[in-house]
Amino acid sequence: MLGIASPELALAYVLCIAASVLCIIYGIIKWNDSGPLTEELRDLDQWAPEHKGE
Amino acid sequence: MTVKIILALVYLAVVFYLGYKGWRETRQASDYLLAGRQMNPYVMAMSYGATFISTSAIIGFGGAAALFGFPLLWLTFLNIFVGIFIAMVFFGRRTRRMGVALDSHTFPELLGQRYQSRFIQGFSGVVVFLFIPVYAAAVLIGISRMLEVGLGINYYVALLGFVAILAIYVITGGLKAVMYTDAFQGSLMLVMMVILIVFTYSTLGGVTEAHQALTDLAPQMPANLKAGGMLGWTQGAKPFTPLWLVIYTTIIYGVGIGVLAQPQLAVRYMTVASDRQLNRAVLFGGIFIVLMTGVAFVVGALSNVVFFRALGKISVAVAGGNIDKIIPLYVTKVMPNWFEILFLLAMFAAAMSTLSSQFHVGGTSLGRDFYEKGLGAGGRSELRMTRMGVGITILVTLVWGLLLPPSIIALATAFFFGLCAASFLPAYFLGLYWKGMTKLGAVVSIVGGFVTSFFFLLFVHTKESAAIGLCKAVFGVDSLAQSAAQGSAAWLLQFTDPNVIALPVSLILAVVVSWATPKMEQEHLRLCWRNL
Repeated sequence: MLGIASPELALAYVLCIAASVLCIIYGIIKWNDSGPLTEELRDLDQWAPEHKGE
Repeated sequence: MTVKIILALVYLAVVFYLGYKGWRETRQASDYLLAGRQMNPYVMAMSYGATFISTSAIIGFGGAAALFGFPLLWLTFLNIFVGIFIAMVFFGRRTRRMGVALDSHTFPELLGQRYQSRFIQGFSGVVVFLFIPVYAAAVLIGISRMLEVGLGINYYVALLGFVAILAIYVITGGLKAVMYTDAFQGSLMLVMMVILIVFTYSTLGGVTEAHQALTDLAPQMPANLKAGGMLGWTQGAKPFTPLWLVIYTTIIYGVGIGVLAQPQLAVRYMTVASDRQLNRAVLFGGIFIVLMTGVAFVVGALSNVVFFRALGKISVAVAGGNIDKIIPLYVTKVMPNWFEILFLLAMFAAAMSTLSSQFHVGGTSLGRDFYEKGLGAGGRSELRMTRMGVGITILVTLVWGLLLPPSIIALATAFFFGLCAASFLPAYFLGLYWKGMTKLGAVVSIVGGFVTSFFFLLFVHTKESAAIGLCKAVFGVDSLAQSAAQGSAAWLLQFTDPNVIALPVSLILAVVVSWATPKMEQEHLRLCWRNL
């Protein structure tokens, strides 16, 4: 396939492109999915218990 | 030559401007350590990618692809699927949210606070600080040699000049300067690689035609590679032969998985303001990486066909046996003259973007993680301590750069990737996903993974143990595995990446010790999981 002798290596070639396409599609679908902003997460600190480090 | 120097100066002017912009916008510790947690997704993705991909990924691994061919494409697949998709989606989002909950500013600090352990933060900081200068020195040596050849600059002048330029903007501008310059440098690399792949495929008559020509070249595979198990560039290697083990365990598994626990990459998840930037970074990163390692490996392998048609010799013969020379020779002998300048600038960019991040993470590991938090010696001027840490990292790198031989490049990269994966990956991953992971489990996993990996690097994996020489000095052999029966599993360990053993050891220690020790306080776990 694609002039590549080993089917395993042809699969690697195709998977490189497929993984890149997966990243593109994921990025487009989730383009505006922001979740909570850092500021909003930080605001929770006001009621969170102080419990950091030893 | 004049045009080359003028373009190099224009490039440096842009880098300095972006470094200045970073410095101007840096007011407090979170700006210096985490770029104010407000980074743009394109800048974040390009910075992540440009830090990930150094000159050795393009020149060193591109040269390795000229030798071993298309099996290296599995590494590109892992670079994209694991290094971008899994990393951003399954590690990035949780790292950012837990990082905010715990107010962590560095990767060792995140681990230390997740497990309420100053030891973990200090130990992780020391590991990063001690070993990242060796990795950085390898990148520095590579680019200084290239400046010597490309611009005719004295090697030592190039080395010192390069360090001085980086020192100015990393020490003053912190992570903002690093990431702004990374994004510019990454964009330059992207343009160069697109031209390289389009030119190569069109020279060889198209995608399938080019691959077919490489397939037909198999009889030219050197005898020593055939003896090691190689069948051809698109045919791969015979399973469980020494070269198959080198390709699949060290190059593909070692580097492909090791990326997940790189402190200089993981810290970038904490630089963005929301998940949106991470989601968008998946898109940019997926395109960037396939055009970096994907192109470098395909062009590296296809260079055999181009050289064979032009000179009647395969790439490694043209390069006189030095695989690091294959990609630069391909650019000089095959590509148009104007491309040589773009390639040189892109290699500057690849080296500078990786080095700046290495200096920054080495400095924060020393200043903040080890000195301030690990030793509890923090004072009021935490930013000054971190800046001093960056300065010390740069000086140590410079010393290593002057002492180490050029052949150390690939070795140092594999060494750092391996140590980080074995030491940090299980504690990092389980820390993000498993509430049952305990402080002692994390300590034993980190120390156990580090010691196992270090032992294999010093005494078993010949590639490193022979170069370091400690095994020879103590036991009189390059690797302890050499004394096993030839062809046995123990004998094959000398070709097997240390992480094939060290990473599972670290993971098993993490799980078993965590099961056997008291769970962490519910109140603390609620804080860690508050934003997830």
